[in-house]
Amino acid sequence: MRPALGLLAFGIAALVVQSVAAVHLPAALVPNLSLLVAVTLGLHLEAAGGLVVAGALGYAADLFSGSLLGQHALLRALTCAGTRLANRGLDLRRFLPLAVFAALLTLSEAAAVGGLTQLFAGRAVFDRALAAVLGQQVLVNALAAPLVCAAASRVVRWTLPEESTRRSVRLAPRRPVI
Amino acid sequence: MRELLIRLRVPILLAAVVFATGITMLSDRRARREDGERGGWSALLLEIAVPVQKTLELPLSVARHGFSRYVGLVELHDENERLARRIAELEEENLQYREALVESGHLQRIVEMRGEFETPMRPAQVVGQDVSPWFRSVLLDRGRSRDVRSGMPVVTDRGVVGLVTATTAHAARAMLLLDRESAIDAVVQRSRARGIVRGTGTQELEFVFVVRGDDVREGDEVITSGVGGVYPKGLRVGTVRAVEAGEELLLHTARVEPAVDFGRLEQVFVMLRRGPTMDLLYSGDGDLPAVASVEESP
Repeated sequence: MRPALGLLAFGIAALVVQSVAAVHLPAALVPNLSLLVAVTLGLHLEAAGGLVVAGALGYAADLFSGSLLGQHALLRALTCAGTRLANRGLDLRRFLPLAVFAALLTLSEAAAVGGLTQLFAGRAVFDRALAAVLGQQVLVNALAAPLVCAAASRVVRWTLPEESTRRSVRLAPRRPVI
Repeated sequence: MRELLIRLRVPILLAAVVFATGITMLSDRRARREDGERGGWSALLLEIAVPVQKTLELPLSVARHGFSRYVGLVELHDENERLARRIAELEEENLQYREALVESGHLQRIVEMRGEFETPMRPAQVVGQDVSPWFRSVLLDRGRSRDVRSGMPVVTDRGVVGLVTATTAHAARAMLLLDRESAIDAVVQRSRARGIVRGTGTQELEFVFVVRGDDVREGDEVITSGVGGVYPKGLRVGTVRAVEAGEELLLHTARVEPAVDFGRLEQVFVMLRRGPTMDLLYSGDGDLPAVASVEESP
């Protein structure tokens, strides 16, 4: 419970930082922190808790965005679920697989945002001009993903009770000598 | 049964999230047409976030502008803000006069216009940008407690910024002119060529106009036409940078550079007026006209 709340607070803080940073930096150069935090939720929390926190984080992202309410909530929950699935085959705690996964997720999310906006609001989001922005976003998110993941790991370690951070040692049953 | 539910809790939860967000998106689409006011948890989160963002924004702003703002220049800064607000009012007033002169040529019209135009403005600070790169909106630090309402135009001394689309007691979200959902009925000040300025999601705007000879040229100023009743007439929108012949014979497109530098948007003014279209749109009476959330030509 504590890691889930800690990561939710971390995600909301990341949203606020992202929103403020976008005032001073070009939008394409600001990493999509809520997406990356959703990835870390898939890596650090158990499935049900991760989904709930990812949904809540997405809902918060919807408030900080001009998107339809619920759009980011859905995408973040799916991101969290997708990360769990991908983590079964890939070791997403390592730099390269995580960076590649974040890049692919950015592309998938862009397609999903476009599809959902077309479906629910009846308007197109993307064209050729935005393809360049997407290219930059892919790169920035891929580079930022390991950093966000490392920060999230620290949050999880910090919020876990002390006993559970101790590594358990498995003792083999004593064999009879004779 | 209980064991089955526990085993299937993740797929059930995922399905519930998909269902709930689908419903939320559909209801939000409708809510946007009725009322942009946010309440409950949504409002609470924004109410907490805005002061935090203002606090975070401060050091970044200081770093950006140097120490000139705070080293013994606090009074000068306040004075500057007051003057900037006054300049914004005067510039728009001036544009209105020029518009009146171009249109009718009668001084009487100018006198009438002055009465129409004197709109109070509420200065607001941009405390955050959209967290999604695919949408263009900003978070303002003024809300309903300062008479800011959905549907009110947002401007700077340079020109049109956008439109307030959602409010809480102490915060508001404004959709920028650059957003793909944004569209303004506009005219070229020199030739009176009329068309629609649309956001492209990038730093440029698109002006779609009806071709009547060589009526739009590079360097032309594009201003709001006032048609649609969302933005007052004569606000500066941008400058034509290139004209592109479209595939259609009647409609051409021009690329317009916005008058406002959206990359450096910090202080804006909310015009405390809502056009008749917006009054109908945000009435929340339930009996709503079938109008889109953008300003279109009649």
